[in-house]
Amino acid sequence: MSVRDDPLLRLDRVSVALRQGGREMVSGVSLSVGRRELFGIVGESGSGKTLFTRTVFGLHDDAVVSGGEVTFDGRTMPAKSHHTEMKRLLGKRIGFIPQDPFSSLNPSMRVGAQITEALYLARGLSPKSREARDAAIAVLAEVGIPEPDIAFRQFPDQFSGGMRQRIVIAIVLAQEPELLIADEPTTALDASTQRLIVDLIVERSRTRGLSVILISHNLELLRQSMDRIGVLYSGQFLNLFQADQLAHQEVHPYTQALFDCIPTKDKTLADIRPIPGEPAGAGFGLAGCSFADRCAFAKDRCCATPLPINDAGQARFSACIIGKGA
Amino acid sequence: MAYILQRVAFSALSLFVLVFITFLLSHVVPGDPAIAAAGPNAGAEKIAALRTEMGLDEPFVTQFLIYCGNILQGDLGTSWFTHQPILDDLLRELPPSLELVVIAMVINLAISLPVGLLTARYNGTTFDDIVRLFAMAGAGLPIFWTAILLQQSFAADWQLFPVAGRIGFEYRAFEGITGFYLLDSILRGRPDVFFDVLSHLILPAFALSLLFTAVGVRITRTSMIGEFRKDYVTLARAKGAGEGRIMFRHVFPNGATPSLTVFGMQFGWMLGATVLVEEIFGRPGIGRYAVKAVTQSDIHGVVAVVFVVGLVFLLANLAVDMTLYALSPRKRAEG
Repeated sequence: MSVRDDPLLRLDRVSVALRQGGREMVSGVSLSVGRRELFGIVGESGSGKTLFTRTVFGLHDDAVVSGGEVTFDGRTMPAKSHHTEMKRLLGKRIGFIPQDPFSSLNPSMRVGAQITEALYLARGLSPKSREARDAAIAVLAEVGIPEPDIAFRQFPDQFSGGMRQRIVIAIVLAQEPELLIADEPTTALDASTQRLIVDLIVERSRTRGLSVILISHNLELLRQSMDRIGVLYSGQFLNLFQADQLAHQEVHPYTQALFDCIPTKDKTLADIRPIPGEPAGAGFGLAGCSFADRCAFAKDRCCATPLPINDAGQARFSACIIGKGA
Repeated sequence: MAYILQRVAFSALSLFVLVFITFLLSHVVPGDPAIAAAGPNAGAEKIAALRTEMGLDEPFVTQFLIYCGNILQGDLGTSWFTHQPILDDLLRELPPSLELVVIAMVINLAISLPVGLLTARYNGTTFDDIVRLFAMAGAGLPIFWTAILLQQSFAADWQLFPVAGRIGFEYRAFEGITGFYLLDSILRGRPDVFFDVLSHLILPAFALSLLFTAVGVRITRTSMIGEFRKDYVTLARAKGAGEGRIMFRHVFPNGATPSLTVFGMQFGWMLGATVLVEEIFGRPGIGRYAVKAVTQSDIHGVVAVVFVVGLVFLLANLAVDMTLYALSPRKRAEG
């Protein structure tokens, strides 16, 4: 995979801060997402993954990109007009799937109208036209909605959570973006539906040749379906690794600790090790590693030494200063 | 369909409770209706005869059933003061009041909905703070005080609007058809009368609506803020929708629903509040009728006004429920 060659999206030391008070919530994120690459971002609740992604893609009102460079398809966005530039890309080249399908569809608008609106915004198709209607029904069929021509006329509350998330995916796919961002698209769904939805996103993106950023707190889900994974912990970018080479490579102690608490069929209950302590929230502006107080390998200097940053934009990276996973 | 029947049945039940309470009211107020009706010079025999004639000797439940039967026949009793059937009085007094309430409601909606939507969108900005300050102050102003202030400044001092009355002196011969002068003047093709009647309505309608508008803005703002936080707004933004499209096509239809319920209730409350405004602006209407009935101890009149105001309140709420039902996704999905 040619990840490094001309990536679709490149983040260079990107930081995100609250608009009011300017507190830095996430800092120093450097990563790139290649064309047709599936990229996972994992983090616990409060790690800042949702805040970070929403802010970078111009969908957060209360936070701003406070540092670093965002480059999309070779074009670096000027820091001052980041929001405006992003708005121009949203709905045309970048698609976004929000977390909760029970609130991400407009309850008073028919499913069909929500898709034809997307078609109008992306391609200028008249929402009432035959062409828009046919395209909407086709994309509903593509995401596996049974009887799409009936669904076209129905309202969101007539569908289950899994079906709603499929409709959201249909809305986003209808706009034919190049980059698809999914913010915890399965959190509100039950376990078996989660699998189906992630599989659908992966399969559709592979077929259509999209790049994907999938955010989740479920590391195992990401490992099984993504190409590369980035790890966020309390606002710090700790690790970046290739999902399929896990067996052959060492990972950051935090990533390892996350894997250690995933139950699998070759683990007994005693093998499942919860991470000691409480997850630290984002936004404390620590100089050192925020995972140090829970880390089994931590040394004194972990808390004091400034956290390394993925300067060179490498495909693999570990922020561990004692050399774990680097 | 089941829902509609359920709402109608519920309203009918509420109406029954309302009738019971008004009936109770007429019994707990001090004074013997028979003595009052007989007049000051009547002897004990005449009073006793009247009491039998008025059904006051009957048990409480029997009296209540008779009262219900009378209402069903459209008989609200006879005024002790005008000696007219109260129903005729009310049919004459209700149109001017409803006209006032409708105009006040139009003002209320025309301000509450857009201002509520905009303050929700610009939540936390200086604009929002200023509007909230005014809404708070407006909600705290008593209606009679607002009415007097408006009358003093806009009518008396600056003479922009008539001080009092329903229609100008030069149009006093104007004959209505429905009793709603705005409508009548259009039906009769009299734009001059229309604008005269409207100018008489503006100040009282503003005075009546201010408090309700302040509440309406706050309620609309709160429900719209809730909508702006929902993920469908995020998805709409991600789809590339502009702020105008998000506000009017996405947020507004969803956020207006809770406000509509409140506006339905406000309609009934406004009719009750006409008591203050009509008295100050010297307008005929049910509120002024009520004041007269109270000062003349005309119990039947007071009870009838309470009943009619309650009835309008229930009907307005029923109408809102029906509208919301007709607009709800489930209903439209059926149709």
